[in-house]
Amino acid sequence: MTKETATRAAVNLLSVVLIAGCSGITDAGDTMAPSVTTISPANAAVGVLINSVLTITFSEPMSATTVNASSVTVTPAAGGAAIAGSVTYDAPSRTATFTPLQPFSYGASYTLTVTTAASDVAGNAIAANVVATFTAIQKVFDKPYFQGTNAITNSSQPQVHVHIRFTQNGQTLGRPSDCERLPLANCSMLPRNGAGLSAMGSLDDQGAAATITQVSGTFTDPTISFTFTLANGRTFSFTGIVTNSDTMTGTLAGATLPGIQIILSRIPAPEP
Amino acid sequence: MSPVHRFTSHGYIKERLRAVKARWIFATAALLVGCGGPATLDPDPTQSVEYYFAGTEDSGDLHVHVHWVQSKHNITLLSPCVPSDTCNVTAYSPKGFQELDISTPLPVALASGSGTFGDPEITFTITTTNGKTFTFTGMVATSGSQVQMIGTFSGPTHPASRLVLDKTAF
Repeated sequence: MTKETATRAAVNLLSVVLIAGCSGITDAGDTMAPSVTTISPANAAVGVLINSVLTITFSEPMSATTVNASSVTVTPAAGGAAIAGSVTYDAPSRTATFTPLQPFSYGASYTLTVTTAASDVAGNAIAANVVATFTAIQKVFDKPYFQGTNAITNSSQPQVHVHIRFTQNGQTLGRPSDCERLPLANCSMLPRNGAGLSAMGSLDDQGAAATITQVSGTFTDPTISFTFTLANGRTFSFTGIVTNSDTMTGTLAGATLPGIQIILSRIPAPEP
Repeated sequence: MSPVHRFTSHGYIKERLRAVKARWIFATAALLVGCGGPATLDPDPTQSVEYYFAGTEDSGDLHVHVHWVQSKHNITLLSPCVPSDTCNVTAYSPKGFQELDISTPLPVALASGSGTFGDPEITFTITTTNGKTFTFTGMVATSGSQVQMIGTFSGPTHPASRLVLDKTAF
């Protein structure tokens, strides 16, 4: 081999390497099927925010043209048409993203499917459809309102009655602006015994109830925590679990109230 | 009368026919009763009011909690019902405080209560621990899991007013 021949061969080899590196031809010998390494939200996740985007990460670079709305679909678990959304693929992170055109429905379950139409840059399809399910966060804090009284075993224990309504924006809870005073009293706290009255302090509404003037909290389905403030400035916090869309169970406490166990239930109709 | 005459006389045959007829009517009636037929004159109520009910009467002065135990057509207060929050009357206004004859915003427990459930008609009387007696007369309506008592509520100084009591979760 002459020096010129050797140089030409080296240049040709370098060209092949460069071309392969830029076009993926190096995967021509790849026969291994790609796989899905992570899905977000994870399979069987609950409490998924309704405006979530879904992501799927693959084990190797994928052919962007095969990762699309045909190979990545989301359907209601209860059946029905596929959820409309856009699918994009980010090559550096090997991640596909599904962005729904409309928010998911509160409390609804969905199935995410990555089909075998998705293939890597060498043309190897994933071995089998990958399926994951998730459930969107519940919409529980709606009208009419929740109410409850803590149980006591003797009259020395504070007993109070709480009527409370919320606004819900994803995980964030607040106080509706249209809360009503007595007799409906759907943002109110009422004493049930002397110890409860001492814990509450002065009553502003008809001398019978304290108006809840502020509410803020977080719902991370099923865990809920919120703080409310009475018109007299006293503040109480509730931490608990939403056991179903009509009941929350937890502990209510404040500077003047030792922790009490209370169940707040959605009333069936405007103020009983 | 000879035995032969007894079996052949017209009067005896009529007497026997009446006896057979009476037995037939009795047997038919027994069968109907056994089958739940028209002899059931006092059927059990088809609705249940055995639970905790709560409501505020229309004038907004008094809020009522009652927890009934039902035995067919008779209702009585759950016992013991105190210190739970399901058997009491609460004043929701200064007028309510006067009607309950109280000076604090605390509920007044019920000392007793009883009534009759005619399904759907219902009447009951409750008496507070400070001796105020109130009466309710109305109807019960059930829709799915929702049960309501809709009627008129009155007391010693509380003029008759409309009261809707809802079956309520604790």
